[in-house]
Amino acid sequence: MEKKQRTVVAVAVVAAAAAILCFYAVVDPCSGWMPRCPVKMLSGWDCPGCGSQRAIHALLNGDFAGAWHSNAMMILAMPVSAAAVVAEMFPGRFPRVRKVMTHPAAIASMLAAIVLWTLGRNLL
Amino acid sequence: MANIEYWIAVDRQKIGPMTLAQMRTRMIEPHTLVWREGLPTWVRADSLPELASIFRAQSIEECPSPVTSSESAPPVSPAEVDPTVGPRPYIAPVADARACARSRDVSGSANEVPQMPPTYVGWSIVALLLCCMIPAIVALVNALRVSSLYNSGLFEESRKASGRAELWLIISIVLGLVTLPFFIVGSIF
Repeated sequence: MEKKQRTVVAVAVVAAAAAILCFYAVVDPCSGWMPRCPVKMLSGWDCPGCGSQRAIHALLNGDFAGAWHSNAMMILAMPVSAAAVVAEMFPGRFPRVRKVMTHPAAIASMLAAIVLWTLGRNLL
Repeated sequence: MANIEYWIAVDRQKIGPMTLAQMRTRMIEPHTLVWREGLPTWVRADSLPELASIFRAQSIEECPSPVTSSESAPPVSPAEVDPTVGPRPYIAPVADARACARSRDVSGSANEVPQMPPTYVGWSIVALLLCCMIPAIVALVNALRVSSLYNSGLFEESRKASGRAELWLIISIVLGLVTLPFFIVGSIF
C-alpha cells in the first residue's frame, strides 16, 4: 500500500472505531435489536468473539469486572492486536514492535491462546 | 542453461544443488558466494551475469540505494577465497560465509533481504474476537505460515501465504457483513 493510502485507511478505521465505541457506550447490547453471534445461534457454542459486545459496553461504562466476565480474551487481545495492526501498517515506524509481533512464536502463541480459551469457555 | 546446478554458501553451509529458478526463491545477495560447474572457485554471485536478473528483481522491490549495500558489504574478491576450497562444492568457504552473514546483519534487513510480507495477524485477531468471524482463524494460521516461511528464507512462499491470509480475512469480513442483517432480525425472535 502507498503511504498516503495507508494513512487514509488508518484515519477511516480510527473514525469508524470511535463511532462504534460511542454507539456501544450508550446502547446495551442485551436490549434486542443487536446482532447476535451466528455461531452461538446455530450451534449453541460460544465463539471466540461471543460476549465482545457486552464486554465493550461494560468497559465503556466503567464496569471492568463485568467486561472481564463477558469476554476476557478480547480485553487481553485488543491492545496486542492493535499494536500488531499499527506495526504492520507502518512497517518503517515501529520495526521492533513489528519484529516481536510477527515472530512465529508470537503468532503461534496467540493462535494457541485463542483456541484453548475458546475450548475452555465451552467445555469447562 | 536451465539445467545448470548451483551451490551457494550461507551461514557456513553449502546449499545445493539447485536450478536457476530455485535460486530466485532463495536469499541470494550480491556478495553471496556461489559455485557452479565450470568455475574454478567460489565466486561472488554478482560476478555471474546469469544471476544478475535475480538481484534486479529484488532491488526493484526493496533496495532503493545501492550505495549503502556497497558500503556495508565488504567486497570479497574471488582471489581472496581459499584456492584449496576450489572447485569442490562440498566445503563452503567458512570465513567468507561468515562475512556474508555478518555484513547482512550490519546492513539490516531492508537492504538486501526483502521485507516480511504483511501477516495480517492483528486484523485476524480483531476479526476473530470482535466480529465472530470464524474464517479468520484460517487467516491467523496463514499469518503464522507467512512468518515461519519468511524466517526459513522462503520469501516467495511467504508472500503467497500473505496473500492467502488477506483473502481469508476478506472472506470473513464479507461473510460477516452479509449475514449481519439476518442475525439482527434473528435476535428479536
